[in-house]
Amino acid sequence: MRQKKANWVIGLAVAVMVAVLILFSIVRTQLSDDRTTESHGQEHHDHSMPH
Amino acid sequence: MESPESNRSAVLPRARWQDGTTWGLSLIAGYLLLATLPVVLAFALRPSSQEPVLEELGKACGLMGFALLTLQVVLAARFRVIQRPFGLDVVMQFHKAMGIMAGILLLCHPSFMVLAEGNFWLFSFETPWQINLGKIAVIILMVSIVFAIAFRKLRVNYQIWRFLHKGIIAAVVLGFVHGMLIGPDLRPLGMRIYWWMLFVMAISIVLYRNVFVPLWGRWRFRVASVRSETHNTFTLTLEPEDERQVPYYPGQFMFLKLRRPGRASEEHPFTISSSPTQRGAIMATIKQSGDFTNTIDQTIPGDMALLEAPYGRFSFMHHNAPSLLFIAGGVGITPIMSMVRYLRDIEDRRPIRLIYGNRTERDIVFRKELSGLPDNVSVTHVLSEPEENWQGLRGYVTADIIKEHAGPILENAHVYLCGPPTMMDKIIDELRSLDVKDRRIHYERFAI
Repeated sequence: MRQKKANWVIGLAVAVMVAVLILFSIVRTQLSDDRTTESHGQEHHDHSMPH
Repeated sequence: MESPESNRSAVLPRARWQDGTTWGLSLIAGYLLLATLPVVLAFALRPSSQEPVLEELGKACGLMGFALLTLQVVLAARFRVIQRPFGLDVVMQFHKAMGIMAGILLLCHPSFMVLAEGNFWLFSFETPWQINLGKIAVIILMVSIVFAIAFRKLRVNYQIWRFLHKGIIAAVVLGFVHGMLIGPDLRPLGMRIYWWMLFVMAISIVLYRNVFVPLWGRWRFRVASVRSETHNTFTLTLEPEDERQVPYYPGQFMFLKLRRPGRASEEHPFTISSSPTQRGAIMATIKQSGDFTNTIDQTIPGDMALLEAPYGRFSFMHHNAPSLLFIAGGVGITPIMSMVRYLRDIEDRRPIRLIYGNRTERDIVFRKELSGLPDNVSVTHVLSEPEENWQGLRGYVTADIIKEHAGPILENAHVYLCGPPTMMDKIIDELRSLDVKDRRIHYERFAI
């Protein structure tokens, strides 16, 4: 039945949207943390380089 | 005027690929892409953030909520190319669900940001006007959603509800301006272009629906005749003003707007009761059951009729059925009559059973025509409140009646139901009890 399939599609759409929202929000803040760590490492590396 | 002349050839909708699963899946994928793209794009253009997760989630909710809001306009626009693989009732079912989803996201947007910052002052209206625009948009949206869900209980006139529902476009405008002015994710050019694209799309469609369609987007017909079918049901035969034929599948419906002197011109959906083989005219059989339909007998030949058609997916044309079982209740016979007329006219020899329930004998619509169908079509009448001299079946359509009158074809027949919602719910249960699989049960529901 079309109406039953529509309920599945609605469920799928909601799941995809919520997943995208959560995933990208977390990854964005995580990347920021990683970048901070990376930049510390880079900074250390830079200091070791001869000027 | 008599019924339009039948012809073995029919004018059917073109581009049948639009009825197919591939096209339907493409539309669903496209919808999901457009809905999620602002969040993905915002991430791609600004991949890292120092803000708390909850604040990022709040911003993302705002972006996606606005995208859903603009896509609501697309879903409500009755684009035939969009409704063809699903049916307009299913598109509206999706529209309703996504409206609630948009409302939740746009409510989460400020809430998450306030919680992340721990600054509850942001909930007041003492914030900068750019933020207040967003709050007004959310309030408009919330009121509209609650009103849309509860309007039946509130007993609001449908035309008034429809007019107020269009007010949601104000939320789109305010949301657009709010985002452009203060959305940090909307600073990159790519995001600004996407934001504008969504806004222009929504506004263009609103203009299309409210300006183009009323002026140029409807088929222009004239009422050729008004025929009484029963004590409260009438058939309008409509003839085109030009030679163009409306292509439609038997079982589909149209939005009909009658222009009658001295009466308000309202638009309502009605099933097409004629068959596409009956070329040169289109018929709508209407029961008097509401403010508008109670005046249908006052329609006179020559009145103008504006049509938007065809819509719906309630037709055997979409299924490869070896045999067909139609079950109708009252005026629910109209789409089934369209299909039966079509099958008769193209001389389809498949076994066909029609079980037709009514209250009394005088409520039976198309009685004479139903008694003169070809041999492969059998018609069984069931009356719930018959006169004493009624020779046919009494009561309601039950599993026993279905088994007795359609038993031999039940194993592989596709079943088409049309009638009052309670009757359809009951019959679906009865069919399941007879092991008829859901994929072979077809119906259409018109509820907002």
